[in-house]
Parts: sequence; structure tokens; C-alpha cells
Amino acid sequence: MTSSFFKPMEETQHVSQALDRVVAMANGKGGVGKTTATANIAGTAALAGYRVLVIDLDHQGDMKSDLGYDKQTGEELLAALITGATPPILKDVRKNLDVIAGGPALEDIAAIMAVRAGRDDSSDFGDMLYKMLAPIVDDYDLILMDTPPGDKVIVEGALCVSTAVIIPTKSDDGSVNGVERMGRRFQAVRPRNPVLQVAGVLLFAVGSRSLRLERSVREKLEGMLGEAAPVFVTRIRNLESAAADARDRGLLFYELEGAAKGEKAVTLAALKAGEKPARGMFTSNASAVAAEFEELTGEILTRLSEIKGVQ
Amino acid sequence: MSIKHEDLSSVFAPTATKGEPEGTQRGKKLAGLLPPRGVKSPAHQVPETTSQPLQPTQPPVIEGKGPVSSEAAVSGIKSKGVYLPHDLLKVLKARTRGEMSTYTDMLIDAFDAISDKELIEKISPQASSTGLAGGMPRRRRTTDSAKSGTQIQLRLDKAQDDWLTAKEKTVGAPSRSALVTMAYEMYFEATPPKRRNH
Repeated sequence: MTSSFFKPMEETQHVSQALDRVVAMANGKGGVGKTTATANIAGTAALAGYRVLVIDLDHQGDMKSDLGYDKQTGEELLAALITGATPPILKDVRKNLDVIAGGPALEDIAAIMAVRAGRDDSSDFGDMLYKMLAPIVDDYDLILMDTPPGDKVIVEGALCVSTAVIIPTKSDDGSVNGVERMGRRFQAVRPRNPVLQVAGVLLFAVGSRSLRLERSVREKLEGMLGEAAPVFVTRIRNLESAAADARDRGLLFYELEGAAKGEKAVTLAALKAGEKPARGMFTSNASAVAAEFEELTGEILTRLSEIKGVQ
Repeated sequence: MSIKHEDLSSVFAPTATKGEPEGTQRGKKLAGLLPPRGVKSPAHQVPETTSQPLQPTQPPVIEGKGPVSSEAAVSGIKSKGVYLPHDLLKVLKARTRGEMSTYTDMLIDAFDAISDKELIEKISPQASSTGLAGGMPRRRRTTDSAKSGTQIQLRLDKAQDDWLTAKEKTVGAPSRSALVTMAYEMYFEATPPKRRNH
């Protein structure tokens, strides 16, 4: 019998570190707008000429609906993470916008990590993500990672390689509780990644006329965050009809803005001709929400340029 | 009744260590908010330090093939892994973050500041280091190339990669990792951290 079996287990040396311009979108609660916000911020930044990569780490793979690409299994991404191979990049999903797509296979990550944790040379998900991203990170001006809400392994791994995190939240207490849970995740990762900062908290799907509610939630969040991070001035309004149209058609809001205008003209022409207009989009105007995403993206880019490590 | 939420200000506080649709102009006003990667904005320019870095005492070994700035080399860039000791990596991370630089650019700065003679002295000390003419040659002690370390990625174009390979041979480094380790160590010893005017 070899004595090496009884050697004390050495502490694993992690290789992961914050990668410049890598930003995680995270909240401890689901349904707060992470995926839609990620897609539209990325799309708007790409439209402005920045080279942007979106990484969908969610096994639901809903980014496909927001960006309008075919459903992916996530198997190639999982294989790249495990083997350190080149990640599967969907090139030019929009001009200047590439995507690493998620899918159901990512559900296996927690189980794989649990098995690997028993080995003394094991690296965690943050290390795997770092090894996969480090060779490609310089190809992009901005990398946005969408994370699943309840998956501690993936969220903390994403935070290990990020320079900043954006926390979207709705106005309800459940969503604000999710911001608190992010505090705990943040604290857990901080020793591994001291560079990590909160870029800001994003108020998502708040009614445009719910001014008192917005003010109240904003005060609550500002009280929680103190001087550590801002609540972004721009909030994204609640526009269910536009959100439904956007996902149904795989359009970003600035694209929906143009599509809605075009459809309005077609409907008017049909009515003038005495014909019944075809069933069209639910929304007639997506300009307001498109403008809000443009303002928000500007705020985020400005904030990122102020954060150390975003050169 | 409102729920009392946790104060997260201390949790999130920064650590001391530190195809366009027709008719829309969306995104146009966002250009320039984030400086292009690899190009430092004026606010991020590192001010000159008062202490002078060490000047090379010998002409470059490979004429006309000095290290090329990574900013200038925009095409054909590949990641090249080298292993650094853990303690050195910690210093390197702190220096690159503090000076808003990259591993590659800091390596270029290091080689700019160190002469081949100094590198040879450190990496493979020879008989001449006794200081006595005609003295007994010292046993050659090479830098240990088998130290454990953590891999970092240097982003190098072909000219930079070739330059490093040639430099390994010139100074007698047992490996690229040993050469890069020594260059960083000597640079950090000789040059204090630059302060960012930010």
C-alpha cells in the first residue's frame, strides 16, 4: 500500500482570475429580466460598433428567443468547458455580435463539479470558464454572461472570471431578495476575485406610470447598496406586448421599433383598401423601450469605463 | 408592512487590493464610451515616473526585431502559455491592474528595461562572475525550469513570438517560462510601480 494515499490533501490552486471587460448578469431570482436585458444591452452595444460576445450559461437557453437563432443543446459548450477546447461561437448573430449558446446539457455542470471536487487536482467551474475564455477574450470589446438564477456553481464560477456584475431586478420584494442573495454569492467569490465590482443594479419591467413604486424601490436598493454601486438611472419599462413580440420574432427592441413602424403602415394600407388587416404584432410602438435600452447601455458602458480592469 | 432588507454596501464595496433597421439611429451616440480594447484612453495613460528605468547596456541581439507593441500588432495574435511562480503572478496581477497594462505589454516594458548581459548573469552565471581574471570557473547554475507554476496567456504576434524564441537562445534560458519569469522578476525589482493619474 502506498503512503501517498494518506498524504494531506493540498489546497487546490485556482487559475481563474478576472478577465477584462467580462461582465456577468446575475440575480438570485429568476424572471427578473436577465436574459432580455443581456440580449438588448449586447445588441445595442454591437450596433454602436463594439465587438460583443454573449455567453448563455443558462441551461434553459432562452437567449435563442431574444436573439432569434436556432435552439442549441449546449453540448458543445459543455465539452469545451470540460476539455478546454475552443468554445462553439455562433458568429455574427448580429453585426459585431457573437454568441456562445447555452442549452440543456449545462444542467450536468453541477453534477460534474461535484464528482471532480473529490480529486485533489480538481479545478472548479471558474477555472474551467477561465481556461475556455482566456484565449478569446481579447477578440471582444465587451463580453456579457447570462447566468441561471438558482445554480450556485455556475453563478459563482461566472463571478470568478468577471470584472463586473450587473444585477437586474423587478420591483417586487422577491426580486429584491434576489439582490440580497447576490450579496452572499459576491461575498463567497470575493477572496478568489478581489477585482469584482457591481457595475450597478438595473430596475427592469417597472410600469412607466408607477412613479411612486419606482421611487420606493430605488430608495430601498440605494439604501442596500450605499456607496458601493449605483442603481442605474434608466429603468426599463414594463411593456408586455413588446416583450412578447420581440421574443416571438427573435428581434431586439431596436429592431422591433423598425418592424412595428413597417407593420403599422401595412395595416393602414389594408384598412384604406377596405381589407381586413392580417393579425400582426401586439405592440404598435417599441420606440420607448428601445430608447431606454440605448440610454441604459450608455450608462453601463460609462460605468464600465470607470471600473478598474476595464481598459 | 415593509420588509427590512440587508445592508449590502459593505459586501459590494470595492476592495483595497483592488443588421441596422432602416430609419433608426440607435447606438450611434454610444460610440467612444468604452475605449477600444488594447488602446488606452488618455485618462488611463500612465504618467512618467521620476525614477529612470534601467537602460539596456548592449544593442539588441536581433537587429530590427525588437519587441513589438501588442497594440500595433492587431492581426495574427495568438495566446502563448507560460508558467509563472504563484508569488510572482500575484505581483504581476497587482502591477498590471495598478498600471492598467497587460501581461504582454508589461513583458515588453521588462525587456526594454533589462539588458541581455543582466539576464545572462541571472540565468546562467559563468566563470567571469568570480571577478578574478584567471580564477577557477564557477559551476554553472542554471535557473530551475521545473518550478511549479500557474499558466498565464501572453498574447503574441509572430514577430513577438520569434523574438522571444531567439532571446531564449541568446541568454541561455532553459525554457520560455524561465526567461519570462526572470524578466518580470528583474523588472519588478528595478522598477517601482507606476501610479495611474486616474
